[in-house]
Amino acid sequence: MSGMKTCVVLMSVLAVGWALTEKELQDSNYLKCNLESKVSEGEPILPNTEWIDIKDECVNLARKQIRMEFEAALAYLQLGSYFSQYDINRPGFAKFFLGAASEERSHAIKIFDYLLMRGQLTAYHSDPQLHTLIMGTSVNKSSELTKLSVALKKKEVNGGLEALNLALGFEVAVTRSIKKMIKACENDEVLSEKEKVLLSDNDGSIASNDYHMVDWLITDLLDEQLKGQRELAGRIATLYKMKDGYGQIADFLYDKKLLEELNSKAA
Amino acid sequence: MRTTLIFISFFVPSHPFPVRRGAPPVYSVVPTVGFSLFAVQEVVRKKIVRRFARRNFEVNVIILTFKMLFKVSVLLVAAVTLVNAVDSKDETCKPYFDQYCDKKPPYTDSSLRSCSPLYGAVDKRANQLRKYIKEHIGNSFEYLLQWANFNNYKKDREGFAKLYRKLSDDTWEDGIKLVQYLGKRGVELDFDSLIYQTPPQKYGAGPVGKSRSENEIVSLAKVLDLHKQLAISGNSLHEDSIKHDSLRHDGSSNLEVEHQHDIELAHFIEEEFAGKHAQTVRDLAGHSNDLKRLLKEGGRDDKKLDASGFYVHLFDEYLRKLY
Repeated sequence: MSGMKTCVVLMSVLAVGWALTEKELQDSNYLKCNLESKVSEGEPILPNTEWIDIKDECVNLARKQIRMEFEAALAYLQLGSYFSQYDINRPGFAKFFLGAASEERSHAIKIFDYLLMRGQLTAYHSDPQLHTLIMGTSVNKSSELTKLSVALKKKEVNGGLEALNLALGFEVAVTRSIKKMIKACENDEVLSEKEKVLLSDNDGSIASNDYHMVDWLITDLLDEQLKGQRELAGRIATLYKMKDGYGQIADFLYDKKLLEELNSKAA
Repeated sequence: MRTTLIFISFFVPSHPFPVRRGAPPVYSVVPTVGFSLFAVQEVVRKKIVRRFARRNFEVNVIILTFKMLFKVSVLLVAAVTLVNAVDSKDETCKPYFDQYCDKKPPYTDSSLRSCSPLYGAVDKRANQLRKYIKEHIGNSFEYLLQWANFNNYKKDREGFAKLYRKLSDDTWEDGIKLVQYLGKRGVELDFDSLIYQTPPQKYGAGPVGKSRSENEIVSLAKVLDLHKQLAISGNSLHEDSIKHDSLRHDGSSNLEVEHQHDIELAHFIEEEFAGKHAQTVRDLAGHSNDLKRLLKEGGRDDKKLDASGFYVHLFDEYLRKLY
């Protein structure tokens, strides 16, 4: 009988010991990675969201704008590589368009920056269109980018003049889209029902006219767009006048001038 | 007749039938057949003359037939040579101008093509290079999304954001450098392939643009994997570009060199990518291990308070100063 008792005691001691070691092992192996899920003592203290007063429609259009800027960047990359080819051999135009590609990317980053400043992009929604644009798993044959790539492959883009005209076309599309965004940000009409309720309940929680975003769009993005369009239009006009009567030599000379200009700007 | 002679003199010395590398075998077979016909007809003509010496009329007819055959074969040879000369990308440039300069009838616009800078084996690596560009641009976008993720007000990790932004800018610049490189070496950038091709992801990161809001350590690990993939692709490009050239027999028992070796490509990959990638991968691995240790210590329950938030903040401060 006493043997039985000893046995039971021994086993329970062993069990408790095993459980304790197991717990200790678990604790020491536990790697806490996600800091935002921390609910140790009471509610986590996170900043309240009252300060976030940007309209949904504004955010949506800005996200679309980011996509558009990336699309323009890829298009310019294609044009840049086209002019780098040995049988085209226009280093000035190549440098111009590759520079434009990086510039479009920097515009997209600017918009990212603004949205981040206004408390956006905290949860990353999947953006299938951006995904398609960059990785291109589902081929969208009707996209402008594909059309351009097909035209370049067939060498249907004849020389710098046509490429500059294409570029001006992209810029005009981007400018229009920015103007659309400005309108949406200063209007009451685009408010969602939820936002309308918020506006009537507590004025200030939603900016019906987002003065700051509109101002930023105009003084920063739109300003750059308009100046860029003027530059392109000027180049087109000059090259067009040069080419009148002189085809190849005009392209050749203009390309060298462009290269020199860009090099001296960089230096 | 003068033009046919020019064609013959153009390709008879040392390299009898210059055929564009990678051209269908018929291009080398047809001129060979033409020339064999030319040789055979001389022999046969002499035999015929001997055998049918008395029957002059028939001899004349047969000789005329052979002459016609000869002319046809010469024309065939000329046509094939012309096709090759026009299509040639990596052949010599001068004979091409010899063929057209100051000759009548004048060239047409479509017959004047460009002399190419192609040599070595860079054209064989074209697809790998295109994929490499694609990988750079894809990674650059992914790093940018990570930058945005750590720059939002909830995360507010300035150090991590700076690290990812720097990586993104670097990778983008490298992508452009590669585009310029293709142009320099005479490889066409297949525009479609740039946009519509998914690179193989051995180190399996999720597709770009679909990333969820990730925590610090997981994002470091992911970026490390992505960057390692870049280094690996660079490795295989280099490996393929230092292979030995090989000799192979084409259809007409001519020895042809098949180029595999491209010293300039190998050098470019070494100089521009190898060292940089190794350093970045090492740095990222180091950061992830430091952070892992901190998380492990900070998150233990035997301390009353969970210190991981504090530790990660200190680590972020370190990154902020570093980048």
